[in-house]
Amino acid sequence: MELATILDDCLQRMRGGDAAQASLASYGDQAAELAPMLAVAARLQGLASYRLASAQKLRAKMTLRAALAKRSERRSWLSWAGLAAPARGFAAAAIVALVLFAVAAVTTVAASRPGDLSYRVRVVAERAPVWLQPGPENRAEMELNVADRRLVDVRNRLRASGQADPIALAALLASDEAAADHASRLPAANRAALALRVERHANALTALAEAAPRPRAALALTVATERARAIADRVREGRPRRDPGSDPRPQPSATNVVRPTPTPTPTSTREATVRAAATDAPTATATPAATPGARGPAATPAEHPTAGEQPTREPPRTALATRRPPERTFEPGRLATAIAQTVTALPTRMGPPAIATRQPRPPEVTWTPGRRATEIVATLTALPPVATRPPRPPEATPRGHGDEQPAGSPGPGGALDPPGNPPGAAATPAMGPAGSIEDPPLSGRRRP
Amino acid sequence: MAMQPAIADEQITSLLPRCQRGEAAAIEALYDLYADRIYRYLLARLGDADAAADLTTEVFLRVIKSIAGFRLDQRRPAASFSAWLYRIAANLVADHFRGRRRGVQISLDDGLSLAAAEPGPQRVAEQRETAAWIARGLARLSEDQRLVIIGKFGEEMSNAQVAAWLGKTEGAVKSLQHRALAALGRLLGAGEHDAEKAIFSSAHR
Repeated sequence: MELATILDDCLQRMRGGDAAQASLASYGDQAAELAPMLAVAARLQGLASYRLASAQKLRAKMTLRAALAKRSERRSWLSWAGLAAPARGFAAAAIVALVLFAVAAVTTVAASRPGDLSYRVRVVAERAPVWLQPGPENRAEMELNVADRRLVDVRNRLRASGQADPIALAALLASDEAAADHASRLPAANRAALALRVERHANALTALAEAAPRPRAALALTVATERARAIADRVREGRPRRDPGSDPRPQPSATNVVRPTPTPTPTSTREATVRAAATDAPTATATPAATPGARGPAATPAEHPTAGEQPTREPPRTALATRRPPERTFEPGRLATAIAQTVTALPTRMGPPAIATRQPRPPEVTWTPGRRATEIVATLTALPPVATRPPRPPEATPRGHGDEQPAGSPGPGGALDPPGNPPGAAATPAMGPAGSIEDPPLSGRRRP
Repeated sequence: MAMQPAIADEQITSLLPRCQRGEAAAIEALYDLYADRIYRYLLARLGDADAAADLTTEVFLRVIKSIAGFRLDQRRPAASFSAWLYRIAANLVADHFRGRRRGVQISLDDGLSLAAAEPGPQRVAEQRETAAWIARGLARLSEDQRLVIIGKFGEEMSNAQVAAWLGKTEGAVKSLQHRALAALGRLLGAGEHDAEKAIFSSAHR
């Protein structure tokens, strides 16, 4: 047996109450080695009897309590000062969450497309850096860059859904307008370059209008085209905006200005149309006769009504009432003249809806601003002249040359004005009882 | 002499979280559990009852300071916590000897006030002598040997308990015990003068 085991056995016996001598007797051969170790062990046995006195323990506990109190006081002060670890952790987590939220919001806005909720934010946000640019030239350039992006948005939306996004369209024109404002402080050479860019926008809008699958979209794009051409003229001439107190910054109301919701024209029997066409200088105050069946301006017809396309309700009359007539330089094309004039000028001349419903009169002739406008115009102009001034052929007037005309005038579309019509009657398309726009009987057939 | 009750794992696992939250009652319960054990260890190392009592309090002050960062070994909670406590005590002893080396001389016979059952003057003198004798002997041992001696004779642990406490096998504990007692027999039998030289040389290491 090992000595360590023998020693341990002897120690256990001693702990059990045996004398050391008895243990040594059991292991006679190892007694000489065991004796000094057991003697030391016997003296060590007393070690277990050492204890702290009660008074010492009491003093120690008081010291510990004081230390604890001091420590908790310091800890509470630290937490009050916002320096405690949990508070720091919470603050760090809050900051991280805030940063993540901001990144997500910026990403969402940056990736938004026309039709998205956050698209309005993107439109405004993208124009914000304009005001950090030094000088009007840089600002105008940046406005046109933003307008380029809006044009792309309009094109994409048109391709995707066949709609002309009103927000993108309004933002495009607002940027062009703002560029024109900045350009008014530039020399002519610079203005010419900027005008060329605005003109490109107009051309692109024209192309989109021709490719638009839906009549309403085509109408909106056509009106926007004319507006862009007017802006291009303004840039070229360096004229400031005509609105007093107008601000080139993004105007939310711009949406209303360019939203070309085709307004039902509550008049325009053929008789009225002929009268209006005969007017040499129609005024914006002319009040056309109410169209029977049309409940005021609330019904919005499609540009090219189809069997399945019902007229929609128009925006509130108050919105329409703020619409401005075309500017002096507004020189619409053949088709757009009639449409834009209808959209922009008529609501200000229309009577309240109640009056319109109180005077129902079946339309004799309704007119649709479709592709057949030229034919109509040609027919009307072929009538014997009544007015003193002979009618101009519709194609005679070149577009886009800045021929100034009074506001509210039909412009080159004055070809629609056959002689003999009383002044004040507008050449407006008429809406049938159901709110649809029909071809005039002169054409002899309805549009499909 | 009755064997001291061993500290159960459950006692430690229930006390420790409360101590880490700074509950005074839990700290006092911990003190009640370990104070005498730590005191005996310190007394056996220092041979000075007052210094051992003061350092015992100091051990628990250090516990308060650093217990929040202590991570319990869930396989052997009581043993791991005891080992941590004795490590603190051992560090304090080392600091104590370093302080004495810098000039603070503590007489082995000064201030020994033992509190074992209101002893009389004769008993106090014997205990003072025993404490000094043990301290002189333990100073020459390795830390493992010291802990085995303190565990076996100061805490009256079984071999298995000491083995669990130190994380060793029972055979290793028996071997350590044998070598420690043999060394003590040689050292303490060599005379007071040599033993005193031994304890001071140990303190200077």
